[in-house]
Amino acid sequence: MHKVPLKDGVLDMENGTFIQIKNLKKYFIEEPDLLTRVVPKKKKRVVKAVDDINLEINKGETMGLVGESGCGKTTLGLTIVRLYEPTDGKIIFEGEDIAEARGEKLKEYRKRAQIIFQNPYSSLNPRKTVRDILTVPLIAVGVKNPHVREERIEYLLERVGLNHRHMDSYPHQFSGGQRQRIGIARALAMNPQFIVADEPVSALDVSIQAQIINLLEELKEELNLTYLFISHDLSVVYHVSDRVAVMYLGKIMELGKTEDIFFNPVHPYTKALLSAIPSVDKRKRRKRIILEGTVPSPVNPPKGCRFHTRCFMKKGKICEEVEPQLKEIENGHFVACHLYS
Amino acid sequence: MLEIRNLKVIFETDRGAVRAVNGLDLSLEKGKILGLVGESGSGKSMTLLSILRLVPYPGKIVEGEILFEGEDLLKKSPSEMREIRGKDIAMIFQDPMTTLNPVFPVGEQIRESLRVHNIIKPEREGILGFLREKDRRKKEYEKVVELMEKVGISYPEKRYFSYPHQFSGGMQQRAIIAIALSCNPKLLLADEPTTALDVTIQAQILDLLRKINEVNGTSIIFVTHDLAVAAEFCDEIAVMYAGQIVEKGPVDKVIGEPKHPYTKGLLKSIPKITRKKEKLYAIPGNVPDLASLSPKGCPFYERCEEAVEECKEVELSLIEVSDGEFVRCIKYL
Amino acid sequence: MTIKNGIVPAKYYEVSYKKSNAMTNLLNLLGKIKKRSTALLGMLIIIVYILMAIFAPFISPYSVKYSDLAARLKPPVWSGGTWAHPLGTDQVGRDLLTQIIYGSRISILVGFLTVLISAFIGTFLGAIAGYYRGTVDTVISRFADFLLSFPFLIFAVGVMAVLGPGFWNLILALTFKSWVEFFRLVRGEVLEEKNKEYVEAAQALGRSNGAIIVSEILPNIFQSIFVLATLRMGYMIIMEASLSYLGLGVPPDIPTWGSLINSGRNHIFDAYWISTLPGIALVILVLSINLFGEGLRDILDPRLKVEGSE
Repeated sequence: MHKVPLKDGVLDMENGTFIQIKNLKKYFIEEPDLLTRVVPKKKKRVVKAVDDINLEINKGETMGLVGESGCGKTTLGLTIVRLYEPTDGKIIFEGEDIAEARGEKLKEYRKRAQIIFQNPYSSLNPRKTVRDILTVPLIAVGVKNPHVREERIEYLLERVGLNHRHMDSYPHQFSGGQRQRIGIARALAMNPQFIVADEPVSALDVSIQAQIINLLEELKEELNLTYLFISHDLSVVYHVSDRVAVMYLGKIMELGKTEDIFFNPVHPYTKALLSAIPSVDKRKRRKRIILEGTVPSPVNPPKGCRFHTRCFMKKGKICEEVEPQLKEIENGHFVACHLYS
Repeated sequence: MLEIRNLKVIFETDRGAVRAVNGLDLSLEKGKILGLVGESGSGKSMTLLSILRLVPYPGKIVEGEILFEGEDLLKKSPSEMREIRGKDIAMIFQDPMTTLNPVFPVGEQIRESLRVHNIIKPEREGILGFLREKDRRKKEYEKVVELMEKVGISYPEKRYFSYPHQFSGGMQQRAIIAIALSCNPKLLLADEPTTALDVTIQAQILDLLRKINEVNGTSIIFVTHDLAVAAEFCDEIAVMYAGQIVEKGPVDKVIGEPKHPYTKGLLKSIPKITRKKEKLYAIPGNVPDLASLSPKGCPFYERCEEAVEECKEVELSLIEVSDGEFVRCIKYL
Repeated sequence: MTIKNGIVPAKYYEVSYKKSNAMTNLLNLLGKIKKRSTALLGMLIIIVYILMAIFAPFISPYSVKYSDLAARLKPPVWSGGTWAHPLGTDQVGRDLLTQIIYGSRISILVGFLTVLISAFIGTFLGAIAGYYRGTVDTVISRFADFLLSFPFLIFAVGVMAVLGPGFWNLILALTFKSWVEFFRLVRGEVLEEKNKEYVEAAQALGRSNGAIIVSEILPNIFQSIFVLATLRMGYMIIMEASLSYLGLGVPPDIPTWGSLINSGRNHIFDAYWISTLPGIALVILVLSINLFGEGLRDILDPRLKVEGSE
């Protein structure tokens, strides 16, 4: 297991903060049809998928991002790699704001920040051979010589655990785990420093998940990568992450070192989430906190604390009216809850 | 209560016969929860569908017996089977979104299942019964509201007229459970009922299913790919691989002291939340492609770290290693 | 079997190694067509027609300009005619077999060209509308809806009446509306493909929108376009015949099936063959094209694919 650079218990910022996300917002606005463009409706439906998020990721660490479906974790990941246009806010990557980068600058950023997708079936173009799939990023980073490219493809395939003889096979000739390996090779071909892994193992069989997790960890160590690891599976996130952020309805509820979040959770939502993890080990089972109801719609998030409608530790009126801010309660452990303010 | 003997399901495809379920033996006592654990293509869903005789074309049950309360379901006529489906044996599917019909109100869909199996009898037969239709509907409505309340749908009177898309995933799954419970089945077949749901919702649904099991004494066969869920929820576990059961027994034995290399490997490959982080163990190789699997020997041979030469050849049946615990592995011969 | 540090040696991930390229794909397709007897039959008849059109000057018994007024209204051999004119002659003594063989040239050429051009226009506009959405999409889609609100034949008659007869005018009149079918198909398919992760992946690799449309998305919908093109070709051939029948097609000195059918109209009771035989030639070709197209759709369209047929 790799080490988090720690100095006196605080993350060492020797290299400076690698990625800094400041007040990032991503709203999806209902697309107006012809009629509403002529006669403007009073109110458009706005889904606040990512709502004012601040996050710092240090070089060489794995930041875990957990939350239930619809909490905006995937949107956040896709916005950070600029597959979505941010509505507002800054994404500072090595001191440079790329939130509004265009053209060459965006292309440069794409070489440094890559993404691994959830679904290994739809993330590979079914009409392209593995060679075609890997050639595109290699050309993008300027490998023009076809022989060098060939060698690079061979190396990449071997590195992710595939035989280079499969270069001319099509995606449908591979199993789910193998396809995910091709997806990883495609991201690596760009020589990135930062990879957003969006639920990379969720669609895979249990016995294959561990293979992919191990591969991602080896690659990280070998190539000195930084990950944003998005997953709804808390055990997986615990295993791979140095720090973890818990999201709920477009907001970060709790953020801290993995051990702090998992063994000393303070936010009621984190507590409930952790208690719901099924475990094979009888002794490890926690007393289950069963949350009432379901996640409210992000079109109309509750006022005040977004979690108050399901919270079992609600303090009173303040939770319904005032939105709690993310506050540091101990070294590097942040929480957005009125119980701790 | 339920006993499956030597069940074989074959799919005829262009690439030859695929043995989706290959000689499966299973038994379930009344009031117990049995977990059927396996990866994609292990045959766990096919086993469930075989019990209801709903194996999709081009699949066929070619051999075996499925004894439900002493009677062989495979010998029943199609109309007798229809009577059993839903009434004695009910099923819950993985994706609640596609199980409910999007154009009818949820309450009506639950009422429909009451009507199909004639749960609320009309007071009189024939034309007079038809005149009393309104009374019957009212009684059915009350029963539906009661069912909805039981599965934890709040404001059932209001929710009765809601359409599926107005329900969240967890609520839809509750509605499906209500349909399954409407006839008070003796056996509930659950095919990955929580896979499409979030962990907090999964906890709610598992809690509900456990209550149903305890209160009504309904037996449950719970199919899942998640060993941890099975470990928490089930009394007994059967681990499937490539259409066969490789290990089965009480949950403490299978999870606590796994015998088969596949079960051991699966347990080791699940990330655990413990203070000490270790590198995960990974079972090598791929989930087998059933069509190209050798008919001889142990199907796990290729991926097994404890394999010996004989594994390629030997034809094994389940071996009882201790009371109620069975393993299909050469090491325990 | 040793597994070092959980790294699994590459040899455990081997898949059945099969090199695929355009040639093997084509052979695969032909193999599948061979299994469907109707599609195979259709394909063979189409090939015969195409060969007939190409080699018309060599296989037809007379020159296209030849007419023998002495041998007017001769019946075909089975109705008591002679082998000098196997399918008989028309009212000005032209050999009907020669006329039908030459007529196939116009039919096939018009069918092929209109479909090619409208597929090209429709695909281009459909891809742009489906990929970019927004105002471009609204404008093109509404224009397409506008065109769709006219019956095809009346529309084509109107256009031809304005432009006057002529080969390229005919192509223009037919293409003017038939691109809409391709537009709607491509737009829908692009909308669907665009949401797949492989498109996002290509964006993340910094590919331009044009490159994504042309080299990522289009290869995935090419088969559907191809199937539609085949099915539309039969329809276009009928449209050409209809316009020629009405005298609105190519100039009258070029033989077409439509004008042949028209010219036999007055003799339908005493010389049935003048109208009937070109009609049969037309029916057989269109039927073959449709059989072939439908067979192709069953093979290529993944949504209609039966599980395990791969």
